[in-house]
Amino acid sequence: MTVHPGFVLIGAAPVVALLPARARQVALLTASLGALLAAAGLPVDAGPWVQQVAGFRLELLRADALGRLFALIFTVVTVIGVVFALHVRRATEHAAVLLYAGGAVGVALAGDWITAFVFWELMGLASLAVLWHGGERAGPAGLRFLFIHALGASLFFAGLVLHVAGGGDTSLAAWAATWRAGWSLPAALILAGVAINAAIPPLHPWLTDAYPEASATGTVFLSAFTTKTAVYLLIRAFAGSELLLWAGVAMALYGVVYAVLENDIRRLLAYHIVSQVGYMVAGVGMGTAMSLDGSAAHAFCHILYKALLLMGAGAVLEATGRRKLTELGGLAARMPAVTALYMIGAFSISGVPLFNGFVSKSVIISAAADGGWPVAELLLTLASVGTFLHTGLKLPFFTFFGPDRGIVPSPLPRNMIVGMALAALLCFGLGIMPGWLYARLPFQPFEYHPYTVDHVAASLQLLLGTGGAFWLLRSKLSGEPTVSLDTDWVYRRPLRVALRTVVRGAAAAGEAARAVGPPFSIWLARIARMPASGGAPDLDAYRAPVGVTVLWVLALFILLALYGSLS
Amino acid sequence: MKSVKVWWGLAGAAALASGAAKIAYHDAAHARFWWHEVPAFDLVYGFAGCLAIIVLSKALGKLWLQRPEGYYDEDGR
Repeated sequence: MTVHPGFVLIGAAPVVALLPARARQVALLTASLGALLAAAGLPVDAGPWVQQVAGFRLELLRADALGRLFALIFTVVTVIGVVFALHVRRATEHAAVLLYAGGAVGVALAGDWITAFVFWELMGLASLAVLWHGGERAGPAGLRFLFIHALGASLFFAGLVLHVAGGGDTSLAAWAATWRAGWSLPAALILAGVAINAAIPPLHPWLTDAYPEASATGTVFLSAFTTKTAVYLLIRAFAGSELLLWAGVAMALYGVVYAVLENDIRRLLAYHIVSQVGYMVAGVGMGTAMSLDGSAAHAFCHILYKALLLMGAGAVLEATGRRKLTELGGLAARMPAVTALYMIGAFSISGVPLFNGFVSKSVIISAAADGGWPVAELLLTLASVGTFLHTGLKLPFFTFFGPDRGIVPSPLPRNMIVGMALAALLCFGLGIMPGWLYARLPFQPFEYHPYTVDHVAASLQLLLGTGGAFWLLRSKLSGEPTVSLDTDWVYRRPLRVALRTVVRGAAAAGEAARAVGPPFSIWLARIARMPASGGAPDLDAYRAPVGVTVLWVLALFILLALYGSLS
Repeated sequence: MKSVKVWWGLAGAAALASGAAKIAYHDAAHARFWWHEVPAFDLVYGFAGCLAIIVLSKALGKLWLQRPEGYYDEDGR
């Protein structure tokens, strides 16, 4: 029997919101594991489940290899994140997480644009609800997040409406022909909407602005779903656009530059989401079977190690209440498990052999070489250097090692460590058994051998070179108590000033009118030479008598009566 | 300080070993561009690339991007 894993999660959300604490934990685990089983058990080419709504053919479930792969990883990370967050007592946050995950799975399994859009919107709203369970800065950051996502959704929707109005087929299977025919306005609009969710600069700062403000547990889910559903839709609908190749390469380096300057550990990791999604977008842009498989594989691996890294940063935040490099240091001895598990995530994202980033990132880089893009290959490799520099060296050095600030962390709930351990196990497992993942990639036959002597040696050299340079310049890399200007500056400064100026201008005009109005009308009355009675003019002196009004009303009734009798 | 020397020693040995491995097991079939043929290319690229990333990003930050922490918090602006 085919069960839609997204419906399992969405259906469980209201239950979870209403249950008392202990029962809620049971329900959370049951729902997330149930969804995982449903996703793992989806038959090959499951569906389609068809509903006719208002003349549109909706395919609620149509699972090919690509959709099943994303549904699987979304449900896997839901289980991991739920375990990590099991101690959290905010029932509504848990419910929002299930809706969010269900929306992401819904997009991955949707067979048509309309279904995908509805789940996409559910995901967007639920992610905002997750975000708003964060600290006090989550409020305004969430509003900015909402505005940008509303813009993205509007573009997506406008594109969809134009596509349908132009007689386009709403099924995603038929879209490939539309996209191959070349650029069109609907395609450009939908792509822009999806690109906002993929956090392609300059449309990315909603991510780096908002994600670090969510709760320690909420950020884990945020990092997994929104950008990766966008990558999924890019792979499905927009493969082979040279524009995306270079946008992806730029993204990969963009995140790296900002990560050098960043002091907040969770924002640093958020900039590396932008950077890592850059590899996937570049793979989509290359559009070869190998590069698209690479993007899908890298999304799969990225979700696991990024969740692990953010769980590590979340554990530090939970235990110490601190999140800045300038306030952290020397935690390795007091938090050995978190340090070790974080390092597994760091090795994975950095592409260290035996960990999962190595087996997926290198597919995209090799695809760039095979496809004849030398510049892209070199720049993506350079971004990889930056990744190891920040997440593998700088962040752990100044958080777990480095100067001891005598911080005494409070003990962590055991489930947080278990959640991290699950993710670490999968990062390592996929690293040593990449064949399991490769066999599930969408474009088969897929043949790639990451563990050649040549490749392992080259990867080690890259890491060693990076490590050497880090050690020489490490004193320059300690955090600085600053924030970095990014494109969100536009709407956080000039646009804000402009809005405020408009509002203040309108208010001032109103005040002025109130002050000037009465004397002005009296002055007008004066120059109209109305007779003065006493000091002030008698405003009723020339007003028409009531009788005139009565006359006109009477005339109207007579006319109506005439009209009525004649017709 | 002794452990730092040990680390440098290990790193140096690993660099030499990887260079030797690249020469011994050179995979000509997968070499697409000239830099795939250079035994120590990735070592140099990693080192120089890392220096470049740090220096360029820091320069960008100092000259343009970095602001005090309360930059977006000041009310009345």
